[in-house]
Parts: sequence; structure tokens; C-alpha cells
Amino acid sequence: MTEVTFAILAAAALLFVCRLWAGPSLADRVLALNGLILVGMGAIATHAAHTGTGAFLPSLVAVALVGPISNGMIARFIEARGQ
Amino acid sequence: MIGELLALGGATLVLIAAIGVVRFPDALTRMHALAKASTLGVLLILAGAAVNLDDVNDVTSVVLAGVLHVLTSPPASNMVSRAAYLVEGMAGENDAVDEGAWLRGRRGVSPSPQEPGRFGDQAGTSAPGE
Repeated sequence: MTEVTFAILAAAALLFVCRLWAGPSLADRVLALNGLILVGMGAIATHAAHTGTGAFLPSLVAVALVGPISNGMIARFIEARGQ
Repeated sequence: MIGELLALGGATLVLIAAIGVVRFPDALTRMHALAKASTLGVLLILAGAAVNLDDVNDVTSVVLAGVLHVLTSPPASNMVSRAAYLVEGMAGENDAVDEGAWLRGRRGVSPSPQEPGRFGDQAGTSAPGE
């Protein structure tokens, strides 16, 4: 079942990479990077649920903090650039 | 077992959000698809990890990650979609009324040149002051 979960997450990451490649504006690329961060968080948590060891959970906390804050900073950048 | 089922359900929600991000026509609708579905999906995966873990330290780490994600992800999505709206405007087929048209042109954001199909080009629907 964990293999199926990882396969679904990989398919989602592939779709996000398609949007990251083809996105017409910077907001679309930021959105696709947000999705990739979510896929990474899901992969770390799925690994922890599969093995039962919490060795990677501090990095999960760090990614959960850093990802949305970086999104907010890039949003301020888009708004100030006006393009 | 039940933790892996929760992780599978959350991964399915993330995949649905990815399909919405690829297929929706506009930056605002893509953000709409990503923000809601992926927040619930990541919370489901974290719940699955918290069910399967035994150590109290690991469970509190997972709960902390979930709380931080719920606190910070919706404002960040709101900021990105607001910046996309202020810079790009809104596609004409999304809604009948562009309620934030007066915001564009203020706050240092230059209004984008009107293209065919954007809001305000249709007859009788131009914003006041234009």
C-alpha cells in the first residue's frame, strides 16, 4: 500500500512539474512549487508512517514552516514588480 | 494499517489537486484547486503518520508540522492569488462582477493592458471611472 501511495505522489509531482514548466505567469510557477513542497511533505510523512521511525520529522516541521513563508515573500515580490 | 490507509487517501487528494492545477485555465482557479485539496491531503497524510508512530516526541513533531501548515498555508495562498489578481486581472468568464477593479492601479501595481477576453472589454460592463 505504501508503494501505491508513493506512486500517486510521484504522479502528482509529475503533473506539478508540467505546470512549473508550462506556466504562463510567475504566479503559476510559484503555485507549482507550492505543490511540489506539499508532495515532499507527503513523502516524508508517508515514509514515517511506513517505517514507524521519526528520524525525518524535524525536516518535516522545517519544510512546513519555510514553504508557505517563501510563497508569501514571492507574492510580495510579484505584487511589487507589477508584471 | 489504518495509518497507511490515511496516507493513501491524502496522496489521492494531492493527486486530485495536481490534476486541477494542470487542467484549470487561470491562475486564480489553479490556486483554488491547490490550496483547499492539498491542505486537507497533507493533513490526512500527517494524521496517518501520527497514527502509526509510537514515540510521543515523534507524534508531537507531526502535530506541530500540521498546526504550522494549517496556520501558514492559507494566508500564503491568499497572498499569491491576491498578487496574481492585482497583476493579471481576472478572466472574463469567471465572474460577472470585478469587485477589486479599484484596487488595481493603486499600491504601486500598474494596471495591465486590456486584452481581448479580459473583464471590462464587454459592452456595458466597464468599471466606473474608465
